[in-house]
Amino acid sequence: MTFDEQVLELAEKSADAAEAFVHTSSATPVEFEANKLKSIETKVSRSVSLRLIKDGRIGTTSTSRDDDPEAVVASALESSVYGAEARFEFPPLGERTKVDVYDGETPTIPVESMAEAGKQLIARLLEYNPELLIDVSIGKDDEEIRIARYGAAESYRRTGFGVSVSANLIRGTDMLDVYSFNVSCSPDLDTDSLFDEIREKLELARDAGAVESGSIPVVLSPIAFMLTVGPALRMGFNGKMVEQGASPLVGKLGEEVFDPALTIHDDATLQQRPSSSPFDDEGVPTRSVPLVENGIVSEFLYDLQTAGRMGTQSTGNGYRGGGSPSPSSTAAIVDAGEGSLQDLIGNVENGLFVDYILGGGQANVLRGDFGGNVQLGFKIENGRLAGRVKDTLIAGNAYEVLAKIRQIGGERRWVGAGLYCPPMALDGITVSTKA
Amino acid sequence: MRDLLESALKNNRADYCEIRVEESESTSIQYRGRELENIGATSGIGGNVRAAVNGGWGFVSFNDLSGLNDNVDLAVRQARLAAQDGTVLAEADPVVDIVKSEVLTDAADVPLSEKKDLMDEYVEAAWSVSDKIQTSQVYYTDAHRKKYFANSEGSYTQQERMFVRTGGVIVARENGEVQQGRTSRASTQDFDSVRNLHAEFEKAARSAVSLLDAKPAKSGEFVVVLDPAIASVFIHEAFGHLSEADHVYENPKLRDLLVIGEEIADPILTVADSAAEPALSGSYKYDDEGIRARKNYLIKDGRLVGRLHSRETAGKMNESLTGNARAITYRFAPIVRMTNTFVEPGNVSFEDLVGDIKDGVYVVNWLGGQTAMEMFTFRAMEAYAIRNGRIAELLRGVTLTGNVFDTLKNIDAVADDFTWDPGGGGCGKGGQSPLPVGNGSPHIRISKCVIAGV
Repeated sequence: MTFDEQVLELAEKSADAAEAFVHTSSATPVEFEANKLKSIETKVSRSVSLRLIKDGRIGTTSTSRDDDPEAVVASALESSVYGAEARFEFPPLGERTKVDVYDGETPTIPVESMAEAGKQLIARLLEYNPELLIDVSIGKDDEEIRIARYGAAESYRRTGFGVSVSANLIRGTDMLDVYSFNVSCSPDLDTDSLFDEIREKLELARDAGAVESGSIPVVLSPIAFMLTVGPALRMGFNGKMVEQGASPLVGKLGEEVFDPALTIHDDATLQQRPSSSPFDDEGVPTRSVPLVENGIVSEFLYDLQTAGRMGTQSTGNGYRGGGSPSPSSTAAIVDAGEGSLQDLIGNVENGLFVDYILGGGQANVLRGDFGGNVQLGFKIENGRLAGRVKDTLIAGNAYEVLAKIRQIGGERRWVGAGLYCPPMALDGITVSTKA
Repeated sequence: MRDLLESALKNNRADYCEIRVEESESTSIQYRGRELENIGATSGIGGNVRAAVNGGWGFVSFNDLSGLNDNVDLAVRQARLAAQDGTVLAEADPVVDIVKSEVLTDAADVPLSEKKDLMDEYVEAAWSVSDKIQTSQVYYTDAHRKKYFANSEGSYTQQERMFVRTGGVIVARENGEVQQGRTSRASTQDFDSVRNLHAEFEKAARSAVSLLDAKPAKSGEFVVVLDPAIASVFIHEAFGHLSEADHVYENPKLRDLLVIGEEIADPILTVADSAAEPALSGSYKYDDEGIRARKNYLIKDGRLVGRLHSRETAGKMNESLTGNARAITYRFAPIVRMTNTFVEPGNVSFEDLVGDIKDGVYVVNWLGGQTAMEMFTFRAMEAYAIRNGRIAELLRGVTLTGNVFDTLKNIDAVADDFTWDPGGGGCGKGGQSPLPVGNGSPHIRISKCVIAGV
């Protein structure tokens, strides 16, 4: 019997219901620093989490040890004495959404090939500009998630492969950092798109530009969308924040809060995406959850306990992230509008294009606020990019700026694993800069 | 443990090799609103091997200690694959030491029921303040960690550490307006220091409620006075990260900007980092490379006088070891990190510091901060207008931003009212977050800083 089976068997004897969650993973990142190969790592980990219900209360514990099943069960039982009242029953296991998140090629790709791809990317970038200092990270990972209860067990394996590159350029006291990244379930050592993106950004940033303080049209890249309105939306649609009455969207289900052009789903069912899974960390099958449909608030994200407290069903968004399950977004999918990024910029006479910002999630996120320093952004003058702006802050409120959208672009891209989104032109963002 | 680690290291063929093992036990309690959400304990064991061959590093982390010899082999093989041009590490005398934590009241000796009762009281204290309290997140956490370290040069250290922290975010709402107040208290020595904090939780709740009626600050460039909490985080974010030598040692242009001995701030400014301060969040005796902690001046009287190092960065820059290689857990290789970073007190009173400001902003209580090379941004939870030398009305939180080199030169007054932030801080870098750090400062004044009020 494996360690988690021993734990579960013991727990089922003394509790009313019990669940073991086992996470096993192996990650291999290859890191380049300052244009040179720096390190190759292998990170193997395994943890067992036990959740039980005893006398109507939840007890939890987790461990990376595997020597004392009695101690694990005793710890969970002790916590159940003080634990929250369980507002759910463990649903039966066995139902899963058909989604493939495993590519057998990923674990077998040799680190030598990963190192070689990194070297070639750096060589190309240095050929383009020998003054660059480039960091590259290429990593693969392979994880297994297993949930067991009531004598049944369900598991899935998921692979991930990611390449990220950042290039640093210093002229005097002027520093420029540009970056690009890609993740997927399958190994992709073709770094052309990363190279092109870095080169394009460096070229755009060559000239300096300046905007004046005030409220001007701002075009957000998909990355900037994530860094500005992202934290507020994540908070606002989180069932737990709704339950606490802390989300500004409380009581707004079915209301048109956003521009009718805006449609967003939380979707863990997309094939071959590292944010997808056949079921969540509570064994509930995943589905595409509509958050905003044509501007109307459609659903919030729930796990079992929060759904139970709200008298509704889990949306399959109970994920652990190291602790107990909690409502979490998987991948936000924003519907495309029309037009290229160039078209969006072309429609702005005097404004700002923001590619990424620093410190976006630090504002009063509960209220929907965002604010940060424009880390890479460009002045828009008569529909064209006119130089990189610096020492410039943007600030706004996600609910205000998304209530009436100037234009949603037609070309979407992935931002890491968690967002698939087009660029967007918005009004109502305040720009502050030196007098 | 020493025998186990030393025997695994014995036959490795790397230039340098080390093994770290950690055992930990921790408890956490979380409330959402007035209700307990999670309570429970976790336990863990894990370790890693790190090896260097010709300047390339191999690293392997694991939970299962039984395959130590294989993991040493794998780390060395990976290091060989990453090999470049020769391993350069600053020389360090091997050290053998067993460090016990100096604990007054150990959190492990306090029953779970007592911790829970205390948190119940704090939650109620916060909610008793006003019926405008919408929700709150109150937490308690304690951890006991034992770290073992051995390297191929004969060092062996064993260090124990207790950590206890409580705090909360209290959210107030009225007519669609939402504001928050925060508090936290941390200790590495004494469970009793997280007792009797009822007034702190009430204060955070009151602060959230009063912000509901506050007006936003103006946006633009202002004279800004930072309270000690903000000032210390500003120094940490804006300057501290640039003093971490791993940003500098392979970056010739940044080295040119950060030349030791150059004047980079007004002579009133002195900044240091010290893990050797007793019992703060960022304190320890040996870092994760077995190097003894010490006090390191970074800016002295306005001049850049030092930076923070690992053995590799010190070796490559030919500077002294500072003991700043830290890893958040055994799952990560140590990187150059700050410990307890602080601005030394000046000799101006707070009243004099604001006394000649006609129109400025006083920012209080930090919410977060981030930096990218020379650009920084951070967020204050509250602000006050300063008019004609006096602190005037409460304003909503503000975001501050700028170029660190300009802003350091714009610090034109340092007060005499130094304090350590009793909440301790958590710092993120290279995916390792939150690493416990200490922050300390008196009030400081910046003659020109861009702020945005929302």
